[in-house]
Amino acid sequence: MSARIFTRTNPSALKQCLARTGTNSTLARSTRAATAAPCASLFTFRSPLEAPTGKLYEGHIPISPLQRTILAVGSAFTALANPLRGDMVAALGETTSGIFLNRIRDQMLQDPEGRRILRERPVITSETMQLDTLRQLPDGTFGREYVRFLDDQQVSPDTREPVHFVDSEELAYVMQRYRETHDFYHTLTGLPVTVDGEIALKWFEMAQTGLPMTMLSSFFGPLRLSSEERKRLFNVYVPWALENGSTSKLLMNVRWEEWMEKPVEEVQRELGVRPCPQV
Amino acid sequence: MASIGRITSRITRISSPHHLFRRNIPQPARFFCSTPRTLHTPSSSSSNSDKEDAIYTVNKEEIAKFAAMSDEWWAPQGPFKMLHLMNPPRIRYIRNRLQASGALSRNSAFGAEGEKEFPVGRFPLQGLSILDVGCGGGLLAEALARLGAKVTGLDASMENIQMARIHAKKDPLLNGVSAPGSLEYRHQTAEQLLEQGHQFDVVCSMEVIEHVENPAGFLKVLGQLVKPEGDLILSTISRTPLSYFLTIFAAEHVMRMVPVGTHHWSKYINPDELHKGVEELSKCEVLNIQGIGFNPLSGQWELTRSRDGSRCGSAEGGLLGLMGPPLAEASNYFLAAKKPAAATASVDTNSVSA
Amino acid sequence: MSSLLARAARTGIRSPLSSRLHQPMAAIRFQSTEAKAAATTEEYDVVIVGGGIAGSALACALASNKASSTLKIALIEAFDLSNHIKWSPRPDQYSNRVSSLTPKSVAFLKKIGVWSELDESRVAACEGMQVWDGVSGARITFDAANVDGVQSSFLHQVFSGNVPNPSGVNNTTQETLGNSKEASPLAWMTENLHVQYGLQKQLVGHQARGVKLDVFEKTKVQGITTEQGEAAQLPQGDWPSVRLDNGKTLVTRLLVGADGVNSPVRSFAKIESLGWDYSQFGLVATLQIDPSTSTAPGQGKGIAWQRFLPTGPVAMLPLNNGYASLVWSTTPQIAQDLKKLPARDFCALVNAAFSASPAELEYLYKSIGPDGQPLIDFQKEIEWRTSVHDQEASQTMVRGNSFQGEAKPPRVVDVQENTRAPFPLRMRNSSSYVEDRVVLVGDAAHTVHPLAGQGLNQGLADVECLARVVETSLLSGSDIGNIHSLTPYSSERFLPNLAMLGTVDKLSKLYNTDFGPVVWARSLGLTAVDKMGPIKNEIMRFAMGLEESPNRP
Repeated sequence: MSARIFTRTNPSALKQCLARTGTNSTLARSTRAATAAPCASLFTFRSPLEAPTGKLYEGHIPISPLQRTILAVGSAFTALANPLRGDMVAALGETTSGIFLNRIRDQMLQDPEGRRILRERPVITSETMQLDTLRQLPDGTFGREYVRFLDDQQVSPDTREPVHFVDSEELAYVMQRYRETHDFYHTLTGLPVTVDGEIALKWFEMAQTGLPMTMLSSFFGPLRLSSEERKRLFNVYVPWALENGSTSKLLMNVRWEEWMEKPVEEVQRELGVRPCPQV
Repeated sequence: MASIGRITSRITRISSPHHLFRRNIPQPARFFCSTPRTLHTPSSSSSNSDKEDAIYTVNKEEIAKFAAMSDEWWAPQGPFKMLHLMNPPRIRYIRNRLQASGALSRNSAFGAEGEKEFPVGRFPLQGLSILDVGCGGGLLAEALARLGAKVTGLDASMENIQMARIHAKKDPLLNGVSAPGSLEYRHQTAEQLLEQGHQFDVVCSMEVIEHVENPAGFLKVLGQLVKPEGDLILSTISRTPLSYFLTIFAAEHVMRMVPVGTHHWSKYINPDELHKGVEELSKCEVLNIQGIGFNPLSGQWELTRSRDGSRCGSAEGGLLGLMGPPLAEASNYFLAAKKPAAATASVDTNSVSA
Repeated sequence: MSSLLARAARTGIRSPLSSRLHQPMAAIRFQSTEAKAAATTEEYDVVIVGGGIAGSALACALASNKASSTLKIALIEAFDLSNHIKWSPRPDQYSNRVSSLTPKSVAFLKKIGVWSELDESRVAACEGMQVWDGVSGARITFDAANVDGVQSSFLHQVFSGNVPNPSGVNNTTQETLGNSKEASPLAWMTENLHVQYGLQKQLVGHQARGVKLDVFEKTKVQGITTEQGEAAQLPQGDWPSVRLDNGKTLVTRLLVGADGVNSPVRSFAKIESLGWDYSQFGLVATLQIDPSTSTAPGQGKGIAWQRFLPTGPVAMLPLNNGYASLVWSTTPQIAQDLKKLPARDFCALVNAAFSASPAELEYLYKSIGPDGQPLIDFQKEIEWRTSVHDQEASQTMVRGNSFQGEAKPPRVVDVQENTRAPFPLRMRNSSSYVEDRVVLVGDAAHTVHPLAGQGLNQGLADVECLARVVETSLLSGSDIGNIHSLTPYSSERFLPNLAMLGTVDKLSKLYNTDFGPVVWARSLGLTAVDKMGPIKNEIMRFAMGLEESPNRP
């Protein structure tokens, strides 16, 4: 069960790992016999070897707490080694953010806009965003810049990794929404999609949400930068990120779909974000 | 505890301005088993009966003068705190003994006019005349009077009597009008009272006998002061290593609960000795002996094991069953005795050696 | 005879409620060299300031005991007391001040004859309790059937320092519990007015049979004084004098302060009251519930529900006939808002308080306008969140400890008009309960957070102890006001009260936060204790007051 398994882009390796530690594996059966029910249930809320729920939503993979721990550790190493491994970054986020997704959801519940989002559960795909229509918008509007950003990076809203390991339908939606709105953050702040740009954006998100995954990236990510990049990060980007992240409106509560036709400056002003200094 | 007054007065004699009032200079104490000594006799000029009326009318000057000392006796946390704490068990013991010996049920047949009006539940001792020899500041006497008895308190110390009188005046229950109980304090000795021909239903003397000069004579006089079929209730301290440890070492020197010099171990009397003394000298039949001990955890005195009837006579228990009193009575204890009906002991003042 | 003493017939001042069978006895009138208005000074053995439940219960207990019924007792109350006897409530209306009475309190009320005066239909037995953490969902349940009735509670022995008698038999509570074959309820719920009704009826009865009990109702105490120095040596010189606003002065052997948390008697005795105010208000209300909506066994009849929210615990206590009493401790602002909300929204919010997450409740609190009107549709919002919860609950299979499968309290359908009332919460303990000729009982001595329902029970336990102590000192011939006569009361009550106060205070602080590690730790603890039968048993017995009565010869 070493990290080596994860350094190769090998989805089946993940499945093998899950199989080896799953509910009906030998490991689970023998452990179950050893830890009799009273002992196990006395000081834990649930058995470490049983998945707590069934399948709750499309793409949901229920895993036991033991499997969750293994996955978290493994994906952390892998993501550190290769931050562009999107699936590993996603897995790391999902396995570690359990409690804090709750917090984001609770923050959304405090805001009427956020509540509306939770109730209506809009999804962002290339169809729902009507990218062609957005391309017709005048320059300088949020929608036009957003599409320009997507085209430059040659990505689309559909390439986001779906949520697998969150054991609650509503929280899975929150996680999904968080990922889906990531591109909007780039458009809003003007941060480039480079490693240090991403890290700067993680600092921004950390100041906003307190997600542990953002903290992990914020603290360990810079280790992979060159010293010049690191200098730029901590002198320019990070102060900006902390200041703006903590004072701006909570971006999870923003119904981006309705801001497409507004000029970028107006959006920035209303959300309380200064554009990032260009270096 | 009469001589507490004497001892404290001895200690403070030089400094106190009150020594002018003292007539009775105490003699040095001696061991009980030695030849009988003279009982302490006051000089003839000290008969204070003519002073009684004057004392009754306490005026403001004397209030001020005795106020300070009265505080000492009756201060709840003062030098006599242990006595205050010992009072409820004492009263319980006395009531139990009087109940057992039939004094209370006989009493219900008593009935001077107007006495029956008071509820017996609240005033169980109504109709009884009780003498408290060595009453000190009146701790026991007041409690007995509140339970309805006609109490006479005797003490050889003038200050004690004054204190007791002043304090008694503060409580309207003790004036003999609103309740059946009444209090009377006399600055006399037991012999003088006997000479005047008084006798009582109950005679109590609590922790006095270990302070008197001539315990033998004292017991004789007490016996004569009891009416036939009356009760005699005494308490004192045994002469054991435990009692030395508790009452002198711990209480006086270490914890300073009582003033140093209050007790002398050599004068303590064991239950069997007291038993013999009461039977032979007081001519009363001993009915019960019960120990009492202080429980430091609860901060209260608690009655311990009790011996009734024929078991009182034997000096059982003790160290390996061979000697000394049983553990329950190894320190403070009570003794209750009853005078037989036949008036065999006449009031005989001449038997007291001068 | 000395001029210090004078005798005169006392002119007894009768209260409207009393009737005497025999003439009062002659009494000593207090006089000093300064002339006092003799006609307005009266002498008493016991003056009880405060006619609330504690004060009235003390008067009743003293009047019931053999020796203390001969005492001359006065009870002073600023409000109306005789009204209580005329109390005749409608069956569909309940007062909002409801107390839970432990078996020990009930045993005491039985002893003084009050329990039999009460109407059974307005007394609800509480057979079980469900208590859970609002943040994590960790739950502990108590069931009356599991509580052992016979042996005394170990915790009580430790705290009261009593030497248990060898047979280990509990005397007074034993009567209530029968022979422990049948389980006693955990507590009985009834309105405070109901208990007062019973007490006042008993007091009138005692007066009728000749107990010298004077009730001064609608009378305030203007001042309490005592003499100092030389004057203290005069007859009754050190007795406290209580000056009333009707011109009378009462001189008493023993002054009892049963006058509530801001006790003037306590100030007179210069006893310090230590403690703090919680930044919480308690809101009480009478609710109408729909028992069929509860998922507890027996439709939740006789079950008390308490949920600990970060703002404070919310509790629903069962009454009869589909009614319940609400005690919701929360921030002062929220308490005021709750009072002003329309009934429909208030009920929706109470239902949400027992099921929604603290974050959801926060949003609802914020959506109450300054005039008390909700700014959003409470029902709609709550229904939406409930449907999300229910959906998740139905899909969750948590093995072993299933939070979502726990019993739910009944739904609140209505709130009785004019029963919503907030009151401040505080914790107070006096540095001492007794002084020379002064003793404190009930709230004057100690005040506690209502989360454990112990305040009134502690007061009744104080009263029971004091009545017993007074009886004992009377039978020992002591002056009942002497501090040595009062010390046994203090030794018996101080430590148990302090223990209860301390425990409840710690619980309140522990559950007042939603900080992650604390929530985890307390949930772990709660779940663990829930599985440890003997410890739960001990806790319940401590709360129910099942203990030895002190063994005094």
